[in-house]
Amino acid sequence: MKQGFSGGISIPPAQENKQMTSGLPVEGFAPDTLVIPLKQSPGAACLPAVKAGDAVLAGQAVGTPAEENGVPVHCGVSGTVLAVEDRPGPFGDALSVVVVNDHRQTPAPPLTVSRNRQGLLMLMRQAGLIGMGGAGFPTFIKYQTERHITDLLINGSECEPYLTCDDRLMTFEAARVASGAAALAEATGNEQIRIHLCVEANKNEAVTRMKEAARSLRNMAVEVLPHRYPQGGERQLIRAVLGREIPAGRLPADAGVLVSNVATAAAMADALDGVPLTHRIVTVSGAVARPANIRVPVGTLFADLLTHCGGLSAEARASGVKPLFVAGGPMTGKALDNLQLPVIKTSSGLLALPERDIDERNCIRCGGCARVCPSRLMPFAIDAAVIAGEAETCADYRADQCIACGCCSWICPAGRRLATRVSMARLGVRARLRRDAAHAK
Amino acid sequence: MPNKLSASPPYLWRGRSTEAIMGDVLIALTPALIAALWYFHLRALWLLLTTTAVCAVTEAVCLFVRRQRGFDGSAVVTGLLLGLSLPAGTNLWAAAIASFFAVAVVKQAFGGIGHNLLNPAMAGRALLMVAWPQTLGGYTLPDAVSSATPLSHIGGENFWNMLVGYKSGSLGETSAVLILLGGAYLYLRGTIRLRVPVTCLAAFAVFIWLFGGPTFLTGDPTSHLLSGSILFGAFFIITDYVTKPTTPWGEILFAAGVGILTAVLRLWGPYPEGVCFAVLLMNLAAPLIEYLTRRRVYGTGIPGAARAAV
Repeated sequence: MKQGFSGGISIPPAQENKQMTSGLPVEGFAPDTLVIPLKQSPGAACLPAVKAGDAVLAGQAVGTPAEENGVPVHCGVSGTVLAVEDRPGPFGDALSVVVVNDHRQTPAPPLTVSRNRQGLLMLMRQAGLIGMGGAGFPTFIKYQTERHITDLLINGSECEPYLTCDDRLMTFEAARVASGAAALAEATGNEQIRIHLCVEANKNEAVTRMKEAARSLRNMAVEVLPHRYPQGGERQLIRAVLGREIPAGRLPADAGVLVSNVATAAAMADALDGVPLTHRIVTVSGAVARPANIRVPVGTLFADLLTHCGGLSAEARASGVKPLFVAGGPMTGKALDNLQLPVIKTSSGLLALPERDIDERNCIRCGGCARVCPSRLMPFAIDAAVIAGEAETCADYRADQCIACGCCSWICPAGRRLATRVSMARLGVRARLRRDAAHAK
Repeated sequence: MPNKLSASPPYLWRGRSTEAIMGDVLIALTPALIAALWYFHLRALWLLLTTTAVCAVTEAVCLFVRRQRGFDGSAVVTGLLLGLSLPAGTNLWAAAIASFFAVAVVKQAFGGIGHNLLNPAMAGRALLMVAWPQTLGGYTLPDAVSSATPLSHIGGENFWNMLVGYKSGSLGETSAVLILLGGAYLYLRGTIRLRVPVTCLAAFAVFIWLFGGPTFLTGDPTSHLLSGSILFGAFFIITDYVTKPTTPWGEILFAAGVGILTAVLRLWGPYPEGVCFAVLLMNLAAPLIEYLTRRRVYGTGIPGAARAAV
């Protein structure tokens, strides 16, 4: 096992609840109607490529990028466009393509593939690849770096509680993940690159399958990492596997490293077969009747997913207390006030969690937040500075280095919303650093 | 400010609250409390009841007046720590005033738990030492024979008696074995870091060994460690979260400072016991120590890192 990273937390299995879905196969589901948002990552929304009444094929682009750095959005089913209109999306109301599924899966013509660096970068873009681990950054931008990349980390850590979609993907589609990883490596332009498939030790099956898949491939090895949150944080993973620290304000590529999620690698393998990114595996778990891992087309509404899983669990219904619905994992996910939101390329989970009220009380200076902070920040001090409105202090305490993992809030005995305020301070300090850098030029 | 857990991630909470931590400290104090009652009988009971009740009531009243919620049990801990740090013969009125002072002035007037600069129990004890020194003069042996504290005649006590607690002194400093038992519990529960008491005791012992004897290097650290409140202080007083630095090196410097200052005050100071003032002095230094021993933030201070503009 590798040396690891600073801080972090061990979430007890009873709270982590991975066992609810970690032994299950991946099932398929496609709803009758898809709502595909034309904005799925930061940056400008796509322009609609279809209009109401058009017939669409499975894998057809329904949105074309509006800017140089954007990627297209595709439809995962065949059917008819019902409307192109504003619908609630992950970034607020945004233009979406509403498609009625004919359940025939009539395929669109495959993408053209040419296997050289430029061809692969082009393919990444045309297949609509973005980082599926959460950030949603366009993959082709990351891989067209001019830097000399020595190491590619394929992130299968999946340290978030509840989520098992990456675990299941690696277990059942190891060969696809591995061949996709090899193609990603080719796209860096360095033939001697080392490929590290990073899996946490708690995912036994995935480790075994990935080791089998990696055996036949060049320069590829499985890195088994201790199960510890946030092992899958980009900078934490690089520290744990390579022992390298990425300087503040720099990208992993500046240190010769690229990191991509296992689902992105699998999507790359599909792209090589001419199939764009239209589906993903979503963990549906928590207080639901039938927890599951489900492969769904992007645009599936969370409400349809929940219905497919039998709705809320009997206990949750009997209790009469409305659960808290979360898109993504419980540590970094987003609370949903509305289940009429669609699954997008980065949606890893739909969770029904118990809602709890915690009073915020005085910090007792136990130092727990500082101990667990993977960036070695002092969240309690930044929390106090945010409340006092002291921007200078936030900068002095380097709030810009917060990775928003949530460890500090999780451990705080006083129930303080540390992560909320430190991530607020992070944005302020980053803006300050940018302004000062611009000023210096 | 949003109070709902649902307002923003994370949506999970470890669930170990301030109350739970105070509960741990109370459990860890139980052996020492039993020893105090065993050796000092009703005198201990009345004294501990006085300090604990006055601290708890003062806290409740202050919170009510300040329109704050959150009676978290920390005042009960303060009351017990103050009571255990006093000799059995302490005047109950004086003890009550010290308790009120500890909670109302030292803690609540500064903003309540987490905002106090000084350890409330030690500040309360210091008030007694300065204002009514005669009430602390009555160090008694458990059989109520008045005597000077053993610190005045180190070496005269039987080693075994010092270990199990049959000796004169404050209520909580009698039995080394039971204090260690409570300390071990706090360590195993993850409530305290072992480096704090260990550094304090080590610094204390080394200093005593160096300078505590008739000549250099002839001091007797063992009887010094087993007498007075250094052991109790190392495990229960200086581990107080609020009044020590939170950084690893800060904890070490702070604890070493308390150990050395205690030895200095014991060997050359005007009072028989030095823990109280040593703790208060280091409390004052804690914010500066913390600031100076901040850990290097990930990604900063290495080549190529963006600098924070301050």
